[in-house]
Amino acid sequence: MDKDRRTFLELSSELTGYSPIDLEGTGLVDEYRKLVEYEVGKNVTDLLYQTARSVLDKKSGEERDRTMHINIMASAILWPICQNLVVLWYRGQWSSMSSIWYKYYARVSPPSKVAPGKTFVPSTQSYTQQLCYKAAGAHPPGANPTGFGTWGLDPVFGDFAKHNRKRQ
Amino acid sequence: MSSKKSNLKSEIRELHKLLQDALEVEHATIPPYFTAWLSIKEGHNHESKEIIRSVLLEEMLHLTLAANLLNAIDGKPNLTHPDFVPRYPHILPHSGGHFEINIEKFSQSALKVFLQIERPEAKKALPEAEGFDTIGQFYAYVKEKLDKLCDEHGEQKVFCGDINLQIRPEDYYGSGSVVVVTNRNTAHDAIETIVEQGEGAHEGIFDKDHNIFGPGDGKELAHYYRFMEIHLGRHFKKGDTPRSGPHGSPLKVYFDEVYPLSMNMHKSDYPKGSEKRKALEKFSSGYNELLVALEEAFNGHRSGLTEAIARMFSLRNQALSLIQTPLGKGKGTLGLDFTSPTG
Amino acid sequence: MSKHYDAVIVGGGVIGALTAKILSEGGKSVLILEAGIEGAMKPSNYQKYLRTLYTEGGVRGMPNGPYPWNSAAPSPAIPSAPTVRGEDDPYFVFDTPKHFMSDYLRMLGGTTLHWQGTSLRLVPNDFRMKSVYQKGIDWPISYDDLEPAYRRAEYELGVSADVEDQIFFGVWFPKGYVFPMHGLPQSRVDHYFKAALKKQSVRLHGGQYPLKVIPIPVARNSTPNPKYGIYAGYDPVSMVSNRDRGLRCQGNSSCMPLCPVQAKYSALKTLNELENSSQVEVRTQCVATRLILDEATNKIAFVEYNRYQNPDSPRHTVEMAKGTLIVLAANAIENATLLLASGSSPKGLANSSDQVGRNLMDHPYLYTWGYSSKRVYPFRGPDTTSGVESLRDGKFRKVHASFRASLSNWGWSSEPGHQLSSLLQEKTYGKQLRKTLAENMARMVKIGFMFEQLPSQKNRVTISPDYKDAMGNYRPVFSYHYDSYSLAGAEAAVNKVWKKISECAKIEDHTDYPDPAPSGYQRVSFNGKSYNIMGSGHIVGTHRMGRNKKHSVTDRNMKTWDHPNLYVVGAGNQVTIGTANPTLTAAALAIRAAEAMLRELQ
Repeated sequence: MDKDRRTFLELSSELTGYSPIDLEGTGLVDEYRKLVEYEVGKNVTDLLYQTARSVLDKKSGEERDRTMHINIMASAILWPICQNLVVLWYRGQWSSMSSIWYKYYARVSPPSKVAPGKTFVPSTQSYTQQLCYKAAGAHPPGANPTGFGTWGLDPVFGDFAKHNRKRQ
Repeated sequence: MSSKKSNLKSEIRELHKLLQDALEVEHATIPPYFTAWLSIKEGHNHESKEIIRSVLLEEMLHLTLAANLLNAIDGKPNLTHPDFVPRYPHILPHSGGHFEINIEKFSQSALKVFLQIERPEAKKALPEAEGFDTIGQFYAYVKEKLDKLCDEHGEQKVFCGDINLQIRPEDYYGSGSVVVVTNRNTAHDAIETIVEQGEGAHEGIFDKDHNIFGPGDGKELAHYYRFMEIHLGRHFKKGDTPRSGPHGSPLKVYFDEVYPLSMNMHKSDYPKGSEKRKALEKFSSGYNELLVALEEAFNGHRSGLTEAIARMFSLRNQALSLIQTPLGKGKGTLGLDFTSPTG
Repeated sequence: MSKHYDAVIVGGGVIGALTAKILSEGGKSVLILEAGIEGAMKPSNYQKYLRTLYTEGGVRGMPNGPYPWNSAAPSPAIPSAPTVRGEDDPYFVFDTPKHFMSDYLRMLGGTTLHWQGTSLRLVPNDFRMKSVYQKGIDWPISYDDLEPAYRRAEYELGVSADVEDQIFFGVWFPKGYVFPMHGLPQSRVDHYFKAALKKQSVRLHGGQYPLKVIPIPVARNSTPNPKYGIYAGYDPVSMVSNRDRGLRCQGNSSCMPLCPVQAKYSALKTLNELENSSQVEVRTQCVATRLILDEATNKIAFVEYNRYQNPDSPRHTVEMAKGTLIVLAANAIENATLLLASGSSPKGLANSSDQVGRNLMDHPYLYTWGYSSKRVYPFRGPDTTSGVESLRDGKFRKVHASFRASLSNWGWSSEPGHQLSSLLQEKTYGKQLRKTLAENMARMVKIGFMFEQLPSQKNRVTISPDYKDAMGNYRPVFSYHYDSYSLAGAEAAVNKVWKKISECAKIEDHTDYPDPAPSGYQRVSFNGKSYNIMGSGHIVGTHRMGRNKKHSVTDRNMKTWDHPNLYVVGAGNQVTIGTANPTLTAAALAIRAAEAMLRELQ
């Protein structure tokens, strides 16, 4: 896997709390990486990945968290991108960076296809793969239904599902 | 008198074994059809996807019918013994032993295997005791055996199972109608449904059901001919025969619009503790949980059916995640392991 | 216009489809004129609308979200409609500070494409409000009169429920009657409230009223009841284009605005039955503009309509349809505006009573919400499978509105988006975010209260030459108010009923009505408290039935008093609204009317 793809995937994993293989399973890693890199431009992308590595290369979770706070959350350039990235994974929608972000923080012009501050759903797959429902054992309205009568049962998947089904 | 009685017991025992085999045969086609169906990307190959889905639904019906048949003669459906899910590539029992089935993506080679599975019984073929050439022959043997026992010992003695264990039409939905098996006639109905939907009635290529795909001549193609349509890229129309082949409208198929999943993957393909192994294990234990719920449902606990359905829907999503997970440039994606967690 | 039909029906929704079905069964010829496009009837369009639901993620919660704008036959509240400066809606016009907040869809299949499917009967006292509670007006028919039609409506719509759960407040069923399908399985949310409210009651005017959680009858596919129809059984009706889909609800949780598998009834299913009928002709893209009167007989001679090729263009041809009977089935608003637009006087036709367009009623709606004390796993299943149904009638109706309380299976509104943003604002991320969000989502409960409104002369829809759509047809102009009867009901619901429920169920209350009200709501104040309310999409009353021509538009069979061959049918015939979602009642009225039409046509 190329270096930047790996960093994007690991950063996404760190930010969302979902493992890289779970994110791969959405089939959206490449689409989302392309989207974010386009929206923020090359220079900010490089800065983002560089800074991300400073977090991700730390050995312990505690150190990673500390470095996240210091290097990313304190950055008026990077933390807004990361917040939007979490929403992209969790809710399947991307909010383009604001005009203020482009003008005063990133100090670049928005790329031609970007409407600053507008929110959109990148693809139907983004909608169907929203992470916010998976952990709760639920699903996005209109997609991935759980099955007849399942609303009367505890979820059989997600973070609350018990896996202690024994045979008779 | 006493020798007749012991005959019944041992004959019924043989039928129990055969129908348990039927259960396993019907089930064995489900992971391959499911995988081929799921591998077709959304928005592409809609027709082929719908065709395979319709076959998959009917196989689930057959599984249920086999369970009803088994329960009707007081057998106990067992879906959870360690070898219930075979390791693929798998040679289907009672089918002539000439070909292997795989867990693989939708492709011409997969279709060729499907055609073998559903191959119609030759008109003159007689039911045989061992080494059936087709599944149709196998069921013909079962039917003969049931008839013989009914004639010799009486219907009541043969169909002595608890009726409350039968899956009823109102419990089951999605494809055709479940038959509650209580006697010879209903047993015939159940067997006929399985055979006609699979291979087709002897007279022609259409079974007696009505059309799915909108206005037509009101007939429904047997599985074999549905697969043939995709394989040859053309629909059958009224007047076509098995010999003539299809001469209806073209059926466009895009074999590259599928997930490039790895064929016949097994959890042991990856080292213990690795992410990919854990993902495969999670799926196979999920599938096992489904079989546990289904077994419960087939053994009198109707709530098991709702749970089985919950697990089916959930597994579909899990499977989709697996077959979308890339293995690296040019290496395709992860496959699916349906075998038991200890298998 | 070459052919003369036994009946020309304006409207291709549930009312038009049922009327056509019954008339054609009686051997009569029928023409349905539908203003909208064929749209959802075509599978490729249906899939397109589903994709719009996905890619416009935010249209969840908007009933007309996925459906396209049609400038030739506009519907209200279409997100993709062009915005017009200074206008709140490109179609509806609001003449009062309070807006009429409900909507409908003009497309073949009609509003049943996006409805929830709730199929409640009115209770007997709903028909005699004046006699019993000295409020509103009595209907000219009783529950008993309508009961047989309710049964047929339950068959036509495919309703799932169990009789033993539905016997209350005098609602009765003939001995041996069962619904076509068993009630839908109850949700974890339902189990939670049912347990918490067991043996509980609330004090309202007139006494203590029990709080009972009861399953809701719905037109949504469930397990068929083998005992239906004298043991003939019932076959659930599949998706119109695919017999393998929609035979059971799968829990897609998007009934409104669109069920991906059509497990929920829509008029497409009835229209589909009629597709091959030689008796029934359906013409879409035909907007009825006027009814043409034959002065000599006072009968309606023709329906004049604009036939358009392209929904984006006002270009059209003018055509006429002729029928022995004319049936308006275009919904309570469009029926009214069509009558008002016809004839040579501003009063319009069928309006000697001056009641056309008046007595407009809806169910004002509000939510209360909070966290349950243990996980109930919402965001699954149909929006609602049970409700607190025990406050639909009672002595308190002498002083305030009755109401239903639907238990929601879909968590809080605007969630989980809102929570996610808040957590990120607080710099929560990663595993902690995942855990917190999931945990909160698992305990989100919400109740929707809907209140009755009394009929009022000043709640009305009219037309004005100042407001026309792109094709030159009249836009509906609304005058709408909430009276203290309804608002007192809201007050009781929030401050007494919700309070009691949340105490018994140990709910951490998070109900909040911010100012300004969020989009889709409007703010009302009553007795020093403010609430954010919205409409329910339950539009009734605008051509009510009655005992005489002075106070009503139609007789008890939906035939207008003024014109011997004109029927005006639908929820608009309702005299009071009660607390039942109106579609089942409207369908029953349509069945009753169609049977009267058949008698007339023999």
